[in-house]
Amino acid sequence: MPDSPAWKDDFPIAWTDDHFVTRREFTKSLVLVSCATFAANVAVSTLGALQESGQHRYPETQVANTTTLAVGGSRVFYYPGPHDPCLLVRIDSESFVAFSQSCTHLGCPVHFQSETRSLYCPCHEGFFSVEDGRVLAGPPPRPLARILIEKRGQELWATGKIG
Amino acid sequence: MGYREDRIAHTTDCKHCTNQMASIYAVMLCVFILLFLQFLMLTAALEGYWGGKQLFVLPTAVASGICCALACKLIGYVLTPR
Repeated sequence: MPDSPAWKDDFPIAWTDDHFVTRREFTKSLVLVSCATFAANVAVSTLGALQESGQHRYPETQVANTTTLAVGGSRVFYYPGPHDPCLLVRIDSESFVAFSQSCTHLGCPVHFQSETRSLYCPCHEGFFSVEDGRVLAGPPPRPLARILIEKRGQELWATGKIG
Repeated sequence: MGYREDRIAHTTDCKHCTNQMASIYAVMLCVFILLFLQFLMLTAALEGYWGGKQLFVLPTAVASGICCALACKLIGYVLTPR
């Protein structure tokens, strides 16, 4: 004959210990959430490290020709994928800059304003510097992602993306 | 006095149970605080990742790991039968 009755298998917790167990179980589940949060943090960290080590390579694509873009002019191109609109701006005769066209606030397309020399988001009045993409005014929380542009003769090539 | 009342009286008087209860509450509070810190770390890591500031990402993962290890240690303390 077994030492304890069969019903104890189904109800192993004594009445007096019942409230301790529920608190323990709750604390245990908190620790599980803590482990999950740590795992998420490690995943983000790994993704960041992979991106930084250059394993996330961007293609090299010809985006424009210097002769077709006037000083103070801009044009849209798609980089790195066909659904990633970017804006190429000719600041002066020798300087070309390119940024992702998606505003870092809510993703509206930004436009170049030659009179203020800034990139302007009409949705919520966000302004970015055309030199480095930093936020000048408005609600955007981060600078625009920058596209690396290389001049090869008369051709302009996109070679990478920062941010 | 019935069984239930007897048990309630036993629980109320039980010094060991009171200590156990206090330690569980203390651990729960500590784990809550650690979890809150971890959520802050995760937020900072995501902000760093999306904002291109990789400098913040690794330290937050390390800090989150320390918090997680502390939480595991605390729960181990509560679950270990004494």
